[in-house]
Amino acid sequence: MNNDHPSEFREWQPRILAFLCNWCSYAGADLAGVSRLQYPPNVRIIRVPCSGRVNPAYILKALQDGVDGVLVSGCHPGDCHYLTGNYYARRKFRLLKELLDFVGVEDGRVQFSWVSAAEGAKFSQVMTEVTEKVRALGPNRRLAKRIVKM
Amino acid sequence: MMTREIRIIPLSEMPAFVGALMQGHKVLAPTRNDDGLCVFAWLAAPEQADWTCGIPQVPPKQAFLPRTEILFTYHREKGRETITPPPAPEPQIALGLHPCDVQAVKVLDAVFSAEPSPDQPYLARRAATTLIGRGFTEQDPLVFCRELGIDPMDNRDCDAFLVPLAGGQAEHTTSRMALEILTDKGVALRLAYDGFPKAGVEDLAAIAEARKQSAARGVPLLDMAVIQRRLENIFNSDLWNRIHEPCVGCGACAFLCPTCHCFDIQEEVMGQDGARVRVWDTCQFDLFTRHASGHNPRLSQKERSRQRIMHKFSYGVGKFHIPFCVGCGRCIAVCPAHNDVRQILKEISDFK
Amino acid sequence: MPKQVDLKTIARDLLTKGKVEVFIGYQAASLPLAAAPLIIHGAKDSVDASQSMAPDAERDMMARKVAALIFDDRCEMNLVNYLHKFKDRKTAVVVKGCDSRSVVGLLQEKQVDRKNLVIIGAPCRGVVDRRHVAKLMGCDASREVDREGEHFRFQCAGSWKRVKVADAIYTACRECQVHNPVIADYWIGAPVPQPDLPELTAEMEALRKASPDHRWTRFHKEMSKCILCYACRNLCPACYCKTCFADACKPKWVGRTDDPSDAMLFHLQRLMHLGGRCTGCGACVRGCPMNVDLRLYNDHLRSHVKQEYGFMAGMDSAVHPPLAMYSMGDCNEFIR
Repeated sequence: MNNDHPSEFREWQPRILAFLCNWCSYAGADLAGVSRLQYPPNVRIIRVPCSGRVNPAYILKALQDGVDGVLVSGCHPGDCHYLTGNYYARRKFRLLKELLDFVGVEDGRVQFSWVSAAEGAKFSQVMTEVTEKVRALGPNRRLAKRIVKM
Repeated sequence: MMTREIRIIPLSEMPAFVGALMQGHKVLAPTRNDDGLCVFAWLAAPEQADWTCGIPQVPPKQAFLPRTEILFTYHREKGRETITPPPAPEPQIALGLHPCDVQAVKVLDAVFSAEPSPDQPYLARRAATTLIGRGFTEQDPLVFCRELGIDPMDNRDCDAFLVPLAGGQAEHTTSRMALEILTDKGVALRLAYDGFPKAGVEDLAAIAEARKQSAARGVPLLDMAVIQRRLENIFNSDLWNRIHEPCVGCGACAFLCPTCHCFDIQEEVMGQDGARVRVWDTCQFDLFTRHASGHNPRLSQKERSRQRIMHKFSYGVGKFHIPFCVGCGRCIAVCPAHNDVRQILKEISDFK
Repeated sequence: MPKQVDLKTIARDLLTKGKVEVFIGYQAASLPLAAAPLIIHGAKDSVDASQSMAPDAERDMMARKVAALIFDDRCEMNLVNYLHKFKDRKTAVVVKGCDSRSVVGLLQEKQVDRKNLVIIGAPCRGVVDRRHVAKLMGCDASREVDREGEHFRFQCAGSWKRVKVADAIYTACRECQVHNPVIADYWIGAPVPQPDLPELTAEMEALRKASPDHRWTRFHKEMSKCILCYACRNLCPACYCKTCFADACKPKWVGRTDDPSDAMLFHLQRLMHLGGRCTGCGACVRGCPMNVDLRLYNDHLRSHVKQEYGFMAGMDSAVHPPLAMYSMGDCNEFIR
């Protein structure tokens, strides 16, 4: 997961992993793309069927493997392709957020958003905001595993 | 064993002695952690060594078999791998080991030096280690090393040995330690002990008396040969149907056992870099024997509990002529179900 | 209110009359201030009985074991955990207030069948924390201990010291809101009064107000103690997955190295699994050989679930668990 820049330009850049639901947020990303809306290149996207499919383990594992921030984005409440997936996800993520706050993981390492297929502009805005928030936090040192030095 | 020389170190001077040992060595010693629990840990400061501890709950095996040991690291670039061995182990001292913990090191030595494949990382750490044992006059009720023939005053297999001596008014409180230097490795610590006075005639008499008293405390020995023979015949017995029942199948007993040495080898990979590490493992876990096919020859806690007893009291004795239990009592102290290995041994002995 | 009975009498009755196949209770352990589980098989228990034993010998053994049954403030283990071992067999189990909530949890999650259970309720004022006693006394835990009414006498460096029993019980017991079993067929003692307790302990209040850095330091310290022996998981009645995520190896989710992030990932995931399910019995803390204080984190999530969804795990088996349902009006503020 090295940055793809020549080393002389290599200053720290946050690496952010985004889990996007197939039906809304991923389509929103697509719309942002075809609309030529810009957003920071720090975000790497993993497409999932539904925000409800995202196991908190995925988020924690990503942080352990060294990403600096994680975003989970799904359909707006009421719009879930599977009707209720995002409602269940909301309770689960609330719990995860409570837990991470309580153990002292910085607020903003893990973020959530609802972005619909029609919201290309919102998608690009969310990506920008998430990236800037993580950039302000600096590199993820708390949960990252250090046994293998990179 | 020939004692090369004996020095007397007042208890108040022990930090100075430990501090001198820490020059040029990593030192593992009994310490008390924030919870008041005695554990063997690497010292950051000489004062951390605690001489009031009995047998620390965390054993000293981490000096030779760390919980995580990097066997080598690797890097991949343009389809080529470079492999880097870990740095050679630094000189280290395992300090304050109860004679039963010293016996445990002997068990580990037997296992890891066995032909045809002696374990190089273990042997390298072992060779870099100076063992300083420590005698005990009191015996914790959970400790049953005497029943296994281990005298808590025995300096066997140590490079140096500390004998606690009472002095002056306080007859039962240790006021000084007699440091017995037993091997070349022990002599190599000269810089640390040279400032302390040699033992006088009275001191020598006190040491001899302490040894005599310890040896005089006769306890009936457990007959390991009988237990081993019995175990050979009861592999398929009903006995095991009951013994395992209270066991919850955690790894506390094995991880805190000074002789348990089973490990797993895992890959830690990130991008183009990785490390092959070995980590503690235990026969009490389901995953320990699960095959890649999903089949597990030790399917339930019954088989796993049996394995623990068999390995300690039968296979170990059969192969290396030494029981893989040293009677330190740690497993009894930490078992969440308070399973007592002494009672299990009794059940085995009584079983007809 | 269930009928009050004598522990040994009811055990003998249930076992000899074949009303249960297995009786799970406590006996004195070999170390001071501790009780071990005692599992007694009845005459009617067909599964893995000792075939070689004569019926007389079997009866003798049962009688001996029944006579060894105890219940007092040493009985710290949550025996409900053993119900998973004796699934589908008629089983009687001794439960304290906290343990009874675990039974309710298992009934709610359909892990046990109420028809197969005889629940022996044991009203409880708290169980003794050996390690805490040792710390109060400044001596190691395994020395001889005596009891003198409401005090423990403890021999320590040649002199006797005393500690009040009430000061010697586990933190979880001091914070316990359910001294009396919430579900039982019989009681083996009179109900004990339930003290009025604040919703949050002072320690928890302080930790919540502390800076994230402070909380992180605390978490890091606790996690650095963990040796991944999984005693907490194996002792937890709510941890009954056939294959735990920590044991999954295709792919491997949790490493086993001493890098603290491995212990953190294990515990964070386990905490997530227990959110809205943990009853706060404290089995994980009592069984930890390294004194890792998981209580703080479970307590935090439990109070979050209670505050947010008005739910207390293990109180009513008819209520749907909050993490397995949703409401349109759930908090949405944390989502962009």
